[in-house]
Amino acid sequence: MLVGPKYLKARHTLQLSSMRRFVPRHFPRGEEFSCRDGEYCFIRVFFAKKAFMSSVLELLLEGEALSTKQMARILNMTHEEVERELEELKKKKVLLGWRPVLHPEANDGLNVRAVIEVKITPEREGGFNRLAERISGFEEVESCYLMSGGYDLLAFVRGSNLHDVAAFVSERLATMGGVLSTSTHFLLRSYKEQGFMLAERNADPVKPKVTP
Amino acid sequence: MSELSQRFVARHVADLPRSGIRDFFELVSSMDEVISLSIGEPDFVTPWNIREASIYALERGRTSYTSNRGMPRLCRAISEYVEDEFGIGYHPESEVLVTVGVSEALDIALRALINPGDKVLYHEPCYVSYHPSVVLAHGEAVPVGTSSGDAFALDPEKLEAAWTPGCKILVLNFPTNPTGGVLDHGKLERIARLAVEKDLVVITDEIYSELTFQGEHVTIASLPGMRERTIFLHGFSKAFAMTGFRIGYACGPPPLIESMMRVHQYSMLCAPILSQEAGIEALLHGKDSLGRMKEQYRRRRDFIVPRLNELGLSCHMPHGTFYCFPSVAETGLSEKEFAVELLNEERVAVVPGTAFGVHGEGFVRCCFATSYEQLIEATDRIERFLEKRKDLSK
Repeated sequence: MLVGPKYLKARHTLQLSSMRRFVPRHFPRGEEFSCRDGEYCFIRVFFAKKAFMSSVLELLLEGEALSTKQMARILNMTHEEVERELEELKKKKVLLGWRPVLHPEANDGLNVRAVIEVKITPEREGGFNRLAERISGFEEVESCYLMSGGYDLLAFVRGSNLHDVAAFVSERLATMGGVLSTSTHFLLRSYKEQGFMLAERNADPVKPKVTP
Repeated sequence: MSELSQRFVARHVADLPRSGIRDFFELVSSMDEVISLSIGEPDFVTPWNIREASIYALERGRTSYTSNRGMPRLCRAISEYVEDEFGIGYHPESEVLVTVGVSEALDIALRALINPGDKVLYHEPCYVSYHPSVVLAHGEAVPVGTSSGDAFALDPEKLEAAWTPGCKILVLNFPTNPTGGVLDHGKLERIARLAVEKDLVVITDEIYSELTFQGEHVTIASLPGMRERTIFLHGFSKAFAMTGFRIGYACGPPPLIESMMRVHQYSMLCAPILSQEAGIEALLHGKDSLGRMKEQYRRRRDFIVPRLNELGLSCHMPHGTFYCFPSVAETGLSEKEFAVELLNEERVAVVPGTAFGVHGEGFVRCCFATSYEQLIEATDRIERFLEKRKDLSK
């Protein structure tokens, strides 16, 4: 991902060629640097944050729902190249998969959600990992994180009704060896879901279609 | 002209031509299902932190006038931003003036500097307000044409040839709306030398500077001998997607800024305080979203320009802004016919180049600050439009 721009300053007497050494390997475009008049040379550098950030991934992260064919057209690549890059991203586990983002009130049969704070006993070998992975294995658990602070794990859980979720906590989670305590909070209302504002007021009928 | 306007309306106002954009706007507004490539603003909503700063100010009851010059905090932030981004320092108390958009800044700069009959050089195609603003300030407009052959950069030789005694001001806008043209360092230096030699005041509107995709943007104000004769205009609209906030600023030597202040204090008084509060937030914390938006525009440009060329609408690669300016000469249509027929037949709106001056003849402006899906669909529709015309002419 490009996370610049940043300026490097150097005395004018330095040759541009010798300034290239300041430019990281991932520096994407050769024409991005130039010499300014006066005392300093300025080089505008975009630091590459992660080597795996491909143009396909950047486009995906913009958030517009596009087919791979559309992506190929935008990026001036072949359809196969886009597919291959997506496969590569999956293989490297950068891209884990595709899921639709549903409105929380959309009736998909799993309408009750809770976050559960879990305290567990770390183990001599493996620390929290073995137990965290066991807890994550349940299909009721959507996400699970190791946390700093007053408890150890935070699990996001879904069920079709209150009873389901309560049963999961009391019968399966709390009874696991190593689980010291649980504290369950039910979600009442969602305002933003994975980047989507739910009360979107952006629809903009006043925006004119032609402006100077 | 009606009898009433003949009796009451000032001649120089009555003589102003109707904006080509306005005509086109009315046509487009009457239609549904139009894909518009004719907006002159980002398709992003202003980043939330900037909007939130304005809401907070409103909640706190900050609804008063501010100092004419602008809030001291904002002037300081502008001074620091301009120094960081453009490498030129302006004193926040005497060399910065906050205005209602760059449009106001340009207007008051011209009104402050022009004596009736003074000539103003500017390059064309250019933003729609340059010519009228000069006329309204009782100046004489001297447009200098730029061409696609030069990628719409201003040719210093043409500029020199256009100079005549009585020319006092040079207005520059690079990167340019509507062409996306930029000036390379060599040309910029020659223009600067010419300005010194001919003793011109330069008003440089650099509203699109953050959206420079190739090479680093250099302001003419930073070149030797230019600071004392340059009014640097900039604003928030394009870089921070804040068009509706109507806020911009001018930086320059104290006597020039003071002269603009005189006009500003009796006309606008001050820029709206809520917009100024938003402006502070934008300058202090807006750079991340700026970088993101710029990358997204670049990707859109890299899609649409080759695509238009592929369709036979020859188009230079704009090095800045979110506009491209393809030629429609190959189609055998004038730019107005092209725009109107494309709109009628395929519901795609582009702006005829002549809305930006006579030198825009044979070109249309396409804004690519819109979603990828719309860009793909719009270019497919243009393709269909061109194919139908080819079939007809067979």
